[in-house]
Amino acid sequence: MERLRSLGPGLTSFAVVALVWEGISRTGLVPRYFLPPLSAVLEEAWLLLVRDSSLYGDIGISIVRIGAGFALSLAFGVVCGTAAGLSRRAESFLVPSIGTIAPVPKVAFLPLFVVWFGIGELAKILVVFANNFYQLFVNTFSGIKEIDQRYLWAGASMGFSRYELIRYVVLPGSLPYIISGARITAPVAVVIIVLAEMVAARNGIGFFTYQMARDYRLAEMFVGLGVLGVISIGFDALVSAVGRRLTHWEPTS
Amino acid sequence: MRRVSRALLDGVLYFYPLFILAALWEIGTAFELIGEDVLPRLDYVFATLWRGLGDGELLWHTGVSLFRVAGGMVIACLLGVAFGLWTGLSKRWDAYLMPLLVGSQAFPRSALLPLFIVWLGLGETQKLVVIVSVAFFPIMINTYEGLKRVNEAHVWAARSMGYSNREILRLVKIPSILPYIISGLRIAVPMSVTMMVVAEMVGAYSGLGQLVIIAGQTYELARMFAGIVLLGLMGLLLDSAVEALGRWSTPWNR
Repeated sequence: MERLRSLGPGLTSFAVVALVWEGISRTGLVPRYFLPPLSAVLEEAWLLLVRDSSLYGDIGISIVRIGAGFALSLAFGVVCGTAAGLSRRAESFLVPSIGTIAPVPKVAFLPLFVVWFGIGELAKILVVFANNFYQLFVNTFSGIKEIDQRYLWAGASMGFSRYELIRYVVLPGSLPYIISGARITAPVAVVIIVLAEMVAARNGIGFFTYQMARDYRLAEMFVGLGVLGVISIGFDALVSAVGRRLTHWEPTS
Repeated sequence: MRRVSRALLDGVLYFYPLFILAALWEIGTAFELIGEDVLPRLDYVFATLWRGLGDGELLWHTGVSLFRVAGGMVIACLLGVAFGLWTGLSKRWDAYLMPLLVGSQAFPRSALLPLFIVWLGLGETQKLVVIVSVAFFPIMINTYEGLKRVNEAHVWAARSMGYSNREILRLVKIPSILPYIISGLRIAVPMSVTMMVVAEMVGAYSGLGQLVIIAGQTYELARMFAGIVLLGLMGLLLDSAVEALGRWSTPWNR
C-alpha cells in the first residue's frame, strides 16, 4: 500500500502527459501530421505488433546487430584489457594507441566502414564495437590493477600456472568492473545501432523509425520509438541479470 | 632546459606505438600494399588537413560543429542545473517530475532524431535541440544527486549562523554540487559530439559530420580521415575545456 502511494505522483504525471498529448492533437491545436493522438499511436502499435505483426523482422535484425556488436566489444575489450593489465609491454603499446582514438566520436567511422565493407551488417556491428570497446577495455584494465596483490601472490605460491592465475584470480577479481562496463555500454549499443541504421541501413527498427518520420507517418514512428524503448530496457535488464548471476558473491546494491 | 627535453622525450617515447602504426600505414600505402580505396596515404591526410585549415575550409566546418556542440551544451547545462535544483529541492516536484524524466530516459535518445527533423527541419534549432536532448539528462541527474549528498553538517552550521535558505543554497549547496555538475558535463561531452555528428550526417549543409559522410560517398578517403582527426581534436578540446572549468570553479577541490 505504501509503495502504491509512492507511485501515485509519478503515475499522475504520466497520465497528465498522455491526456495533454491526446487533447492537443484531437482538438487540432497541433496538426495531426505533427503529433498524432496517443490513441492513434496505440492503434498503430496493435496493427504493427499484433494483427499484422509486420515489425518483428526489423526488430529481430536490430537485436542481432546490437547483440553482435556488444558481444564483440565485450570480447575484445576484456582480452585487450587483460593483456594490458597483466603485461607491461602490452600496456605500453595498447594504452597510448587506444587512448589516442578515444576522443573521436566513433560514429564518424561509419562512412569508413561502409566504404570498406559495404552497407551490410559488418559496418553497423563494427560501429557498435568501436564505440563500446574503449569503456570495456578501460574497465577491465583498471579492474585488474585494483586486484589485491596478495591474491596474486597466494595463487602463485600455490603453483598456479599463468592460465590458472587468469582463470581463478584475475578474471573473478576484475569481473565486477567488467560488468559495470558492460552495464554502461548496453544502452549505448542501442543508441548507436539506431544512429547507424539511420545513416546506413535498409532495415532494422532504427531505419523503420527514421523512414516513417521522413514519410510524415508519425504514428508509426512513435511505435518504433516505443519498441526501441522496450529493447533498450530489456537489454539493460538482461545484462544486469547476467552480471548479478556471475558475481553472486558481491553484495547486491 | 634538460628537464624540459627529458619530459619531451618521455612524451614521445610514451606514444611510440603511434609512430610504429603510422610508419606501417605510410609504408603500406606508399608501396601500394594497401589499396587507395582502403586507406589513403597518411601524408595525403596531413596535406589535406594542412591545406583545408590553411584556406579555412576545414576550419569552417570544425567551427560550425564546435559552435553547435558548445551552444547545445551551454543550454543543456542551464536547463539541467535548473531542473536538477528544482526536483532536488522540492519534495513534491521530485515525486511528480522524476518518474517522468527517468522514464523518458528509457528511450534511446538517438531515436528522437527523426522526430526533431519532422518538427524542426534541418536548421540550427534542430541541431541545438538534438544536442540539448542528450546533454540535459546527465547534467540534471548529477545536480540532483549532488543535492542529495550535500553534507548536512555544513547546512546546519550555516543555519546556526543565521543564514537564510537562499544564502544556504548559494553559499553552501551550490558550491558543494559543482563537482557533480562538472562530472555530468564530462559525461555529456562525448554523447553530445556523437549526436551532433549523426545529426549532421542525416541532414546538414556544413559541419564535420556532413564532411565525413560526403567524403565517404565520394571516396575521398584522405578528406574523411582529416574530418575524423578534427572530430577527435574537437572531442579532446571540449573535454579539456570542461575539466579546466571544473578546476577553475572548485579551486578547493584540488
